[in-house]
Amino acid sequence: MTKLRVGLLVNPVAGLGGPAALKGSDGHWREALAAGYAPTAPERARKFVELVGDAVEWVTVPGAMGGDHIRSARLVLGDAKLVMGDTTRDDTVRAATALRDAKVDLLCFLGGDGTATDVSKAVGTGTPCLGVPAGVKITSPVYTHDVAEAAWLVAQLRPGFETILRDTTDLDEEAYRAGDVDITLTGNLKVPLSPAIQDGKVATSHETPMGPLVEQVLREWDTDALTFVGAGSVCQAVKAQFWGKPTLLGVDGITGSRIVQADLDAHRIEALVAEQQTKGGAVRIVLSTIGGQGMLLGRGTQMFTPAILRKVGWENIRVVAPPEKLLGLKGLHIDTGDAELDASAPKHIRVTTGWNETRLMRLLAGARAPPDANGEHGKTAAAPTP
Amino acid sequence: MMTKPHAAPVLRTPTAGVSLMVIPHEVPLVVEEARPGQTGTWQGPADERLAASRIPAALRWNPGTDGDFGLSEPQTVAHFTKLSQKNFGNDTALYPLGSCTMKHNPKACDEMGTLSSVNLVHPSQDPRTLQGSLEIFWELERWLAEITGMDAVSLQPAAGAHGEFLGLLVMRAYHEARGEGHRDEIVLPDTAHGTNPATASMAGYKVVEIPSGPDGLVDLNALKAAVGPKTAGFMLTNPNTVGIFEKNIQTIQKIIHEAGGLLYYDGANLNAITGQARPGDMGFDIVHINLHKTFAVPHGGGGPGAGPIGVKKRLEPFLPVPRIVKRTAGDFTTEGMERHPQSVGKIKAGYGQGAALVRAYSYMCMLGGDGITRAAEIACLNASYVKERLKGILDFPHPGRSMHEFVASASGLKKRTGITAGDVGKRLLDYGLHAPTVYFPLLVPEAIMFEPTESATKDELDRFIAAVQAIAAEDPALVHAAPHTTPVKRLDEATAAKKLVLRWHTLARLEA
Amino acid sequence: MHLIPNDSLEAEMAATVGVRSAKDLFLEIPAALRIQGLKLPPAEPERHMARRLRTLLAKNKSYEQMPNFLGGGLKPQLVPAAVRAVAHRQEFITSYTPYQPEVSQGLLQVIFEYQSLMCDITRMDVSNAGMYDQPTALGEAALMATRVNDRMRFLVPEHLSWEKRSILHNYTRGPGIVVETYGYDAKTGRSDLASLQSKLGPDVSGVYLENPNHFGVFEEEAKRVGELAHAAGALFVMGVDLTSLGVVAPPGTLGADIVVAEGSCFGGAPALGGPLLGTLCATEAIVRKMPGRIIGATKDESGKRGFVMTLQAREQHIRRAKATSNICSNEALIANQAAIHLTMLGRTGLRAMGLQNLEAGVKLESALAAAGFSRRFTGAFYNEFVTHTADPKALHEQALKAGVHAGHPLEADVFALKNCLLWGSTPIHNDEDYARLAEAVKPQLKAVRA
Repeated sequence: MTKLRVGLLVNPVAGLGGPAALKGSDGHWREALAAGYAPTAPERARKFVELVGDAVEWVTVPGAMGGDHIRSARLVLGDAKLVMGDTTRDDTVRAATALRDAKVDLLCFLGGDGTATDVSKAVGTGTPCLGVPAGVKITSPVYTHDVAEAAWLVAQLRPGFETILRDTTDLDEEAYRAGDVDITLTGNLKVPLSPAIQDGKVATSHETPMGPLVEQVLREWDTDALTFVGAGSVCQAVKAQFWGKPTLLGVDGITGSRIVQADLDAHRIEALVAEQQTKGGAVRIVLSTIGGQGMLLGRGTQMFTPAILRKVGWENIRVVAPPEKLLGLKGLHIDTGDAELDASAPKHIRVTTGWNETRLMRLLAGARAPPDANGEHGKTAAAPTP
Repeated sequence: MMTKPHAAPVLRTPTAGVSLMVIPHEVPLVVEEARPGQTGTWQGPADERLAASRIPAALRWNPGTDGDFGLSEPQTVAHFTKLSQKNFGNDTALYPLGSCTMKHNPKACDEMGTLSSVNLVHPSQDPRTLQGSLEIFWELERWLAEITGMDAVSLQPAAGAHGEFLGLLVMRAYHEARGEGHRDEIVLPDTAHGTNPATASMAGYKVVEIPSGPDGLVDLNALKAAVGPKTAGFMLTNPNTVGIFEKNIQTIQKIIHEAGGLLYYDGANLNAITGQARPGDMGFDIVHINLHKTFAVPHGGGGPGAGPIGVKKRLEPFLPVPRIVKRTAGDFTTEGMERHPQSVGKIKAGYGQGAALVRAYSYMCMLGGDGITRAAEIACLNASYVKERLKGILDFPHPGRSMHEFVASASGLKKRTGITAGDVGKRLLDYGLHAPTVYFPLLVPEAIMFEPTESATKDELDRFIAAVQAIAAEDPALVHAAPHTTPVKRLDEATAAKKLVLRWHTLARLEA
Repeated sequence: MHLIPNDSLEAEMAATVGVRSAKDLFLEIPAALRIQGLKLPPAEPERHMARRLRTLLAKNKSYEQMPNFLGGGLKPQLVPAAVRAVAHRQEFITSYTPYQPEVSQGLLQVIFEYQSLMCDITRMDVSNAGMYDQPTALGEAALMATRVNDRMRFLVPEHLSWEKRSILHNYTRGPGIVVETYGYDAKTGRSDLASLQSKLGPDVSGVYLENPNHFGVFEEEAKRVGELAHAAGALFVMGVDLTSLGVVAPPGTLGADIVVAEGSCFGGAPALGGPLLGTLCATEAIVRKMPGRIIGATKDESGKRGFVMTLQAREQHIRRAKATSNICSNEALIANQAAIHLTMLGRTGLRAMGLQNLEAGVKLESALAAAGFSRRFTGAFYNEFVTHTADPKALHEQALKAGVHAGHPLEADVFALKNCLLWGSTPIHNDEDYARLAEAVKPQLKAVRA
């Protein structure tokens, strides 16, 4: 049997902006690097390659965009100097084009929405691609839920596998703030047909009555605790109860009934947690999920680093989401990048869905919940094919 | 034989089935027809002097006849008869609303329910003057206990949701009596009817929803994770909302009871299993029974219903008063709080829906034990027959065998033709059939929930199947715009909510 | 089976389904749970059932067989036969909740007419489509008041029926609303405003007042009660006898924010507790806090007037745990009957109805006075009042023996009124009934030998 020829492309700075609360790494990564943060992509790339192993024939570009993370692979674009910190979006396009020309059966790229957009620019809808999540924002339905799942999927594929056309999308912050359109279409990619690939983000309907949900969150509010409230429109509605300028895409910290600090990065969160815990006070995190995808941790929440999550503890994480965000989801995905931490999560978590109402949801992490025999993972079989 | 209805709204050719065309398309409001001073009933002389002599000055009132709403008897009868002709009843044609059990309402039961001996009686009357009704109620309690496998029954609740409410009051009283009043969570499957969370909330409980598995059944792991020392109870229908029997019910009851909770049976789907299996045997502690579904009390356009509850022995002390007691054959009396100090008291005037209870009783007499058993069999057969024949047109998301109702999905049809579940429902009206329940449960995209009951004839089911087949093949544009033959077209609900015209005095707002 | 048409087509239909028989459809049920039939009587032929039930029910003593003077609301009124004849047309009685408005315009318009009629006679802005009965409507009103102002104490008269108090307690316990009472004037039988004032406070959500009250007495100072409630920031909730509203000032003119009443007095009957009809009206300002179904007028695509269920975002099927109530099935048929009856009454008939009920009270008073009973309270009354008697039980037995039902023992409601009976009458009673009453309760001169 011929091995699948798989191209590997790594955006070396992907994920850098996450803990730094920069909502994306493109154009911002230098600040993050300067603040002492490290990108997540290299580590994730190594793990991905390791999990897939020798089942496939690897093709990649040299240096930080591929070669550095893999023991043996055929190199294309051999003359390029792709050093971590020096690559640009043009390099992504160039590398993807080279891998396309090398006639890979599947191009796997590690990054976020920006990376997917660049790859789409390069290869169009010709070469089948697969996103391996490593970026900050991942709304594009071309990514798997986590690295393990991507590795599992690649191992399943045989030459001639079925594909489907998907959009690449990016969060348009300006439009999002205006409350109108929250995602922009940036291109198209052909991806393997598999439930392992996440769905597109479904925006919370502006008609959703958020009132009862927010009211319930406030009813359960612990005024003595230091509470970090995460990103998204539901969390923003919660934060709006405390001050007039709630951060939509960032994390705000609240004690008592006032905001202590807004738009926090990982360092500041860590410091605040340490301070509060030294005083013997409680720390809570309020999160929502990404509608349609069910991502709880790992997308836009990277400021909650594994170290912080460990200190706070799973029992202090509150999840809020209107019921329609949970519709059709088999569970909520966590992808902290720390397999051990993911594995320590409870099997179920209670999500506050409305006034006096909670819903129990499964917590899904790649390490613990690989797709079942039908390849079903993360999505119900609710929409049948006739 | 199916006649294809015409599309053009102006062309009022009779559709298949009922002749909707004789329907009066516009009926003025009473107030638009009325003349000042007109009345339609004369009940003898009235002494106008009493108004001044018997009513304190501060409360005297005479609204006069400005804006009068009186009509003579012939006008009143004509007005409301015309309105009735603009209404689709269960006797009109197939009314397959899922989860509503629109079975035939036998006319003999109407006769019994409207007797003056049933209606012109006051609930505070001495029980010795109510021996007929008390005997019927007492017997009805026992029959319902036999059907549900329970030990004691209260007939007091006015409707299904009211029964749920009483059930949870009893549940709370039970936990409190055991010193476990801290149990404040009701666990529900995510397919529960909206009344379940609303009732739990109204009874002061928090609601914990658990996800269903892909097979449409309760996810046992989720259930285990959800229950604990705070669990008061778990509410469930069986067969469940998607019409499938919860075959793990024995495990479910063990999980709930080991956690110290009680198992509540929502009787919405009881018609599937009467005489086949009993909630009591399955381990349920409390059930409510919708007499207006399972036992043929007419739905009346949204009510009245009747929602008796049945409980296991250990919960009997908490049932509401008055309790009906049989002393000897033909001698019945009632007991109040003094004999039942742990009772929750009352939740409804009098004994409950007295006249509805007599209707249900007379229905059960006519069917007998075997007929009630048979009703479930044919109800399930009818639903299974339609489901089988609709395969290929609609999708069936759950693999298991469904019972008295099924949930189909129009998502495949929508993908192929753009025709949605709602469109199918609206277009069926043009075919002279009532729509099934659509968009419930939410979990199933483009859900169509169909329940024919045992009253449907095979011809009518075939007609329904043919209509769905025809609609699937029709010009989608025609279907989107349906209904075409009804007295009004699709109504603007947004305007209704915005302008809030809730009485005839504010009708002018509609034009504003 | 005459009620199950496909009974005889089992084999054919089972073949289509792919099972041997209908019984096979139950194989998903674990064998241990399957039962073999029910221990119930065998089927009874329709006419035999009808005859047996008529005979059995003839043991009931209805208002037609036994003059019944029980007070405490729920008395039957004179209902024209046309009401049932039209309301019970199959299109109305066998239809479901109007979820498909295009084929339910008839019922939707009827309920819209009902709401309009209720608003007209109560002088309130909005009415819902009806609750189960007045006591449950009172429970819902208390919950509604708390939804409006987030306060947790609800005041009711001490002179309230035990039934209403018990139901109110059960409705308000969940959210933790505390129900407290204010007193009455021992002489007039009217509410004691000083007592009410002493109970008012910034945590009071609503004040409930009945007019006429549970003693049948008119609350002359109803308006003042409303003012006191409003001054404390509470809602004014009124319970009224709808039959009186052609002659007695309607709650909308007395400052009521919410009104509850027993709507089955129009077109209905007590029927041992139901089906009844809980009327619930309110001011427009708080309509979104209202429980239950509400019908609104709108237009269809062609601009034609039509009716739909509206403000559904308050209801259980949309709002679930945050719904204003869990009510689903209501009393649509009884509301329909009420609309038809009120249409037949018109303003003229409604006024006559009020006058005739006043007269029934006068006649009842005369009949009891003839037997030596006088009213316990001095306040003016509508068609009910309280008398004192040394031994209510003996009096009840004496009357029952004479084929008359005496008044309702008040001890059950207000413990202090131990030896009191609450009497009531309506135009359903004729002169013979009053004569029989006077005869039945007159003092028995010869003491019965022990």
